[in-house]
Amino acid sequence: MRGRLQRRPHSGMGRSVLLAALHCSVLTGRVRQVNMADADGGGERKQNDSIPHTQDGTDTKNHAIARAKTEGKELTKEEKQRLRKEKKQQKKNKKDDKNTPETETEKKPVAPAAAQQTIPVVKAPAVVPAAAAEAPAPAPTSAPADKPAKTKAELRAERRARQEADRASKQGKKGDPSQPPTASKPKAPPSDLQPVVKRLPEHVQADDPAVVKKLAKKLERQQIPLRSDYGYKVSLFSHLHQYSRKAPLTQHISIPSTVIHPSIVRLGLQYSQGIVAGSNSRSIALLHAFKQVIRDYNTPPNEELSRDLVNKLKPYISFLNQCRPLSASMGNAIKYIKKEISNIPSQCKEEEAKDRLLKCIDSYIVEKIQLAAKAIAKYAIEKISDGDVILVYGCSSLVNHILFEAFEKERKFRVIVVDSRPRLEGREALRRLVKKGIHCTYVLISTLSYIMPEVSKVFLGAHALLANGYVMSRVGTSQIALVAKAYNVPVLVCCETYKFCERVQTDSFVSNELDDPDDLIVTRKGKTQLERWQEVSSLGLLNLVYDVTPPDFVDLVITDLGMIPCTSVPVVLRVKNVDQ
Amino acid sequence: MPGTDKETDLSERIEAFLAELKRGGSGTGPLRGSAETARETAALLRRITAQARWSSAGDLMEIIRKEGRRMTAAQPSETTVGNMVRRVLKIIREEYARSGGSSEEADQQESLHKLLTSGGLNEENFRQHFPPLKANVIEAINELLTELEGTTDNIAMQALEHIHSNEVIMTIGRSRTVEAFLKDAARKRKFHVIVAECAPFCQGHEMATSLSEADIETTVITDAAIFAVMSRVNKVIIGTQTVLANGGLRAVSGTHTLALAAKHHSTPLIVCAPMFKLSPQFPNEEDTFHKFVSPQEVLPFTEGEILSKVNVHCPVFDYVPPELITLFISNIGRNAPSYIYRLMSELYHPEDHEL
Amino acid sequence: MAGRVGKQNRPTSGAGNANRKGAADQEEEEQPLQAVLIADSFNRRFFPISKDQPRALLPLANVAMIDYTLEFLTSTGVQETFVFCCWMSNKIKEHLLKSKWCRPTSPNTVHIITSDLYRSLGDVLRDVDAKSLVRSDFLLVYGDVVSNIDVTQALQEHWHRRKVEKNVSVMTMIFKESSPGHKSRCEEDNVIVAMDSKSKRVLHYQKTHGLKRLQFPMNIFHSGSDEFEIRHDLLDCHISICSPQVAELFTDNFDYQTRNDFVRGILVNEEILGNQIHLHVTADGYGARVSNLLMYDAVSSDMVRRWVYPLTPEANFTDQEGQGCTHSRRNVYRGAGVSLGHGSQVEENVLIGRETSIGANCHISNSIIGNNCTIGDNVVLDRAYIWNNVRIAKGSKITQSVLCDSVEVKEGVTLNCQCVLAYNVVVGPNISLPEGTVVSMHHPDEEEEEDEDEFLSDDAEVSNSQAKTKLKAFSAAEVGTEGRGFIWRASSLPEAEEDELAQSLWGLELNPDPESDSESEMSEGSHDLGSRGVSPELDDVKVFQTEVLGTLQRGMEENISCDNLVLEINSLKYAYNISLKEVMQILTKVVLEFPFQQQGPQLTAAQYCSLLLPLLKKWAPVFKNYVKRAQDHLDCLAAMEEFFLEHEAYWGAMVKVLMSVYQLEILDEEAIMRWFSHGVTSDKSRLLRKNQGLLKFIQWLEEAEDESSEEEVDAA
Repeated sequence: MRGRLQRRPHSGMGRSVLLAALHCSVLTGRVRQVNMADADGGGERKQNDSIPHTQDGTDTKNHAIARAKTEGKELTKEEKQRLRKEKKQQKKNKKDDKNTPETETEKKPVAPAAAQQTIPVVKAPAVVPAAAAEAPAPAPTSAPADKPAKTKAELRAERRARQEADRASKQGKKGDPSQPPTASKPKAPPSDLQPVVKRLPEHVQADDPAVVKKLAKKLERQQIPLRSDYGYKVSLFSHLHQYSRKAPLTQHISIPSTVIHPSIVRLGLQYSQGIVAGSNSRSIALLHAFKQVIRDYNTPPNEELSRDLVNKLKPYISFLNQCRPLSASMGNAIKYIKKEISNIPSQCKEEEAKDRLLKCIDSYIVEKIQLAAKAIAKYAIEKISDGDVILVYGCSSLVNHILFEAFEKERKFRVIVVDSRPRLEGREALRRLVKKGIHCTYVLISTLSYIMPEVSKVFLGAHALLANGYVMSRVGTSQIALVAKAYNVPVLVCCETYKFCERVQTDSFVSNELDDPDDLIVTRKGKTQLERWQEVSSLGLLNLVYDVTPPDFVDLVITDLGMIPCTSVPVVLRVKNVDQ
Repeated sequence: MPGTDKETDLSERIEAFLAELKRGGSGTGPLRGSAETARETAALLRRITAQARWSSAGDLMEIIRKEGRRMTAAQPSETTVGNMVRRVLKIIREEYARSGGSSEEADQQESLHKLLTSGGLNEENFRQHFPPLKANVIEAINELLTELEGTTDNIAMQALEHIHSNEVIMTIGRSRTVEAFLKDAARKRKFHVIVAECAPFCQGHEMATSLSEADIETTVITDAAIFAVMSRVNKVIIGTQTVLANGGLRAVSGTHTLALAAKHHSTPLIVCAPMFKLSPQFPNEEDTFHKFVSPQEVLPFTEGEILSKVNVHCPVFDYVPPELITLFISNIGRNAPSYIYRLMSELYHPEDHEL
Repeated sequence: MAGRVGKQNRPTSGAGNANRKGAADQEEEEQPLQAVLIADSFNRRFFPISKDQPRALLPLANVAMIDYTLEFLTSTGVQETFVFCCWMSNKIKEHLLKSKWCRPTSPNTVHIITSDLYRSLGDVLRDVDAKSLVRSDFLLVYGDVVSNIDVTQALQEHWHRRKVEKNVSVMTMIFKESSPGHKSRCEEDNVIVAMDSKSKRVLHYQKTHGLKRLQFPMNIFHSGSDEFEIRHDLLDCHISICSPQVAELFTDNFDYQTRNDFVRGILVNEEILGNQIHLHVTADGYGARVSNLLMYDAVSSDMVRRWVYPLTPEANFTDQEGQGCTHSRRNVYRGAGVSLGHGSQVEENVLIGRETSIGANCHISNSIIGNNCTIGDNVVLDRAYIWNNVRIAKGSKITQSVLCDSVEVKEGVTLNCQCVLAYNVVVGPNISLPEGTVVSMHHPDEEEEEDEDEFLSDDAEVSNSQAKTKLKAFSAAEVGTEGRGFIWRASSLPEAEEDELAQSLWGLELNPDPESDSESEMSEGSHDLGSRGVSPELDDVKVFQTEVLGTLQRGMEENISCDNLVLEINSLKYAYNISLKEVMQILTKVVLEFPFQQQGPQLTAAQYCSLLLPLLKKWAPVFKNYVKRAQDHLDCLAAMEEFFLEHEAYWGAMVKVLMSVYQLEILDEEAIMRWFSHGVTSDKSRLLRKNQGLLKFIQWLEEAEDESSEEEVDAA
């Protein structure tokens, strides 16, 4: 209640304040919740065979069973081999349930982890719907913005509860108590390293209610709030999430977060507010955050670091993914980390394991990003000759680095910085270049075809290189490549290999990111045309973030492995997979 | 004496018009659509014909040429003015010829020989004096005015022939002609319009709002997203500032990119351009073609010291070569870019190309 | 063109029209908008250049500055402009008469008013008031302002304000947002402005240059509004919308010389006069005043980079024949008949006037070249500003310099940064002028006589100039063997100020000049409660004291009659607004210290007296003038005591002083008595009173008193 009272006055003030207010207010609501959760979580752990006998045992069982069903459904979507694996484990677990945990631990080393971890997982829903119902209570008052969202969340919660209830009743007739733990198995860490690549990520099927629901459920399990959607969708892009920067995810989580490490929360906020942008800086920030997490991590009793840590990271990742869809580079970095963690032999000490991981991360940053940049600069400079007029777009850290290097090597060239609304990142690039003393010209992307005749080379950064040779990058890049092609100006794309990714994509629609549409609104001389665009149903604003450039526009890709044509990306990828 | 104050009144009007033109020359394109400009020019020319002192067609043409030169000089980017002057000159020639008995129709099929010779002779026999000439010329100019009135509607009427239902149409910036065209189509059919905003002036926003008010499903995109979105577009309909003699365009900057993108996805590019935008001008690299406005549109003055070290360009127009254009829709029909030269020769007399 | 500018920022027809139309009918219902254009700088920043050509006519991007100003005024809908010229008024007049402004068709009728008596903005406005030229609000600009700002909005705000509360807001100054460090910001004009965010009212206005610490009187923040802005990101466009009162106010306060004086004056006496000054901050448009050569450099390059659109070189707005030029990529402008030699590179931001021929293999960037210039082969120009008919021989290299009309540069000359070659100068061959050299045909000596006088305008020395130049020989060392011209600054001023001049030419000077001090004082002067710095007050008194001393000394030398002295002191009193009490104390102090001033501090009491007494006798009337009321007597005595407390050595003298003062009837006895009995402030003063002579004197006084009383008794 106090939360409510204090929030109103704040509403006028700067975001930071507002957030703070929200957090503290939510805190009051949530912490109680969570403690309770832990409490009976712990209770379970002590005497986990006694589930049926606990006074809310039936209720939990129902949930468990329900989950079993849904998971079952979910599984059918997945590959056969995996199914089989689970079948086996089910059998195992059937036995497990009869034994008490103590005995178990001696017999089978694999099972207990499964058994134990299932229980919180099973338990979670019991708590969280409540949380979902209760925690949001203060939220609606917080800001009109997220009111509908929240109510939606509640509805969802109720609906789920109902569904699960009647499923449970059906299940109950069959009466098969052994199902739950087994079915909720797929969360086993090692199994989801490969598939994660192949499975279609949630953030490109926002139009599929089933997927959305599943996502919501997953988040709940990990106790992460679902980010409220903007509510409005551009046609052709209804499959993508449309978030508003006004409603950052962190509004609804308590500080100190129960499940999410503070450094991750900060990172998430920085992502969603665009404070940390650009795939390089994003991945570096991510890695540093993870380092912090690992430092602060200590393995709970009778857990294995290699397993538990990965599980711990999972909610973080999905949290970050909520804040802003992960970039390909981040995806690769995460994969790398997970691999490293799971590679840690179970017998090695926690401390050494941790600093081993830290070292791995550091080396990743150094080798994959920093040294890569150096290498690329070395190659690229050969391509810059005196008197060149180089066109760059936006603010690619890598391209800037190359230009600095070239300038220090006394190459005589001038730069044309092309920029585009709404981000106008080019201005930052411009400032940096001019500060260094490089001769610059600045134009907007609309005047591209005027400036292109002057240009002798085009240097472009990349967000990711796709397996089919398409270059994914800041929206507008493809356009520049197109015009450059039309004027027969060579286009060079600079990209570190760690940004290569197995995904394929042939247009900018299927997998993309939508930024806050309100950014498009401009005020010229006190006149804002699009002021009330939301009120006009037939008017929509599209603020794309990425686009893909077909390989035939790109003459050369400069990577840390040397200069290659786009088409040989898959080769590089295979090589990488081999050495990884 | 009435004659003189008529003169002064006339000169004042001309001055006012020139001032107005000068004003019009901002980066955001003329405040009043070029249609109005055309109409006003024609009206003014009519007034000149009525009030100025002239005895023979020759003098009149001289006067009109003189004023025309000043008007075009006042705002080089506003080509419609020059075009109107040419139209009127042509009218005078025709009327003169008609009152002289021979019909200008003969000239419609100029042979190269005629083109070369006609000039010289004409100038001489323009000296002849016909009393009714004035009335006829004014009459003809009135016809021209009525034609001008109708242009936008004439173009809009053809909309349904070009837009089928559930199309995704892309346009750029703001063109009154295209606006009318789309709205007309929207009366019968549902389709989706994507408007490129056209930074830095963002006329696109204006366009989008006005379209959405006629509840056409409209989406505003940034200029950067043109190519990204193009793959879903199945028609591009744009307006233009001038149609050049070679069938190319002089349109808001960003149009060339748009055209290239359309070409790459082989999406048809349709240009809505009333006849008075046809001008016997060829693309060139001079300032009369490009127009640059203050850099502050692109980079604000508050950017500070780096401004003194940076060159910022903000051209207003793009040249779009004819090969990227699929079709012209004008108030007198639909033509391929390759046909423009013909229309040109019908509209203007070859000698008037250079005022 | 106001519309044009407006529109250029405003793509929406609606607003554009509405606004301009609004302005239009405003103007109809008001009188036609008027403007006062001051075509004189009233300073000699541009010497020696402005010796031959008034600043307003100096070419900027090959167009006389005043044309930009007039175009700006016309574009904002000004229908009547008064051009005030002083220095070389005839040249300006003749220029204007053949410009488009004096054509019948011109929408803006230009009246030229010339007088050699103008010494400052103040004088001009007083004249405006005297002649009662302006009927309603008017625009006030200098002849060297380059701008394309659309003041329509500002005007309307101004009018609105004046409507709402009659005649409270007297002036609206127009500023442009621009972050500090922007090249087009003139250091000297850097101001700190405290303004009321809502009403845009100026609360505090202070130039920042030279002042290390800035103080804001607290009381400005006590006033009505709850939202203030203190801004430093403002560029002074030197465009102000004035109400007719402004002229009157100038008339009333004879000591207002510049707009600064005015603004500060208004702000200080705001409570008294109830006048306010407002601010209009515009984000777009361009406005700057070419107040020195750095600004000239900055504004020219902005011009070429089209910041002042639509006032661009190719626009040829002055429509003179042949002025037109074509604009091509990278801001290269070519006039008619320009010839470019083989292999020459015209990099970017270059303007080449008509009929100019450039040799082979030249490299030109960021430069402006006038008409009919001849540039040889292998010349390198960067940020060079070359006016008309200049000849540059091959192999010379010019960087950030100004070459005036018909200058000749011989072979192989190098001009380093910030050189200035005034009219008709010849340099070279094969020399390199060091940074900041100023060469002129005028010999510096012409200056020396008037160097003291600040307000002297530029016209005085034309007369004798030519004569002198003939006499002097050109030094080959300075300007080369075939050179013609004198190094301007080297000998023009005593060494101390040497670089100061060149700086003021290039406008780099930041050392606080008396003006800025007085400003800080003003900022204090605004009767504030909280933050009152003490030091400036003292300074003030000090200044006054020295002034008084000076007056008296002159009084001695030229033995001025006492009442004249009184007059002078009075005027000083007002100038520094010193209270009567202070005046009298200071006067006393000064007089008593006077002997030291003459003979230095080491004097015996006797000598001191012998020196002092005649003075006292001499200036008795002066004292009498100030010592009237009983209180004055006491103050005077207190001052004396204070003095003698400081100089114990002279206690002996004190009696004599008192005596003579008494005898001169400056002080009467009961004052002295009262002082003696009550005036005790410290034990030292008690000690003082113990002093023998004094006691005796007092005793004597008492007796005298008794006697007198007795006499009275007798009389009775």
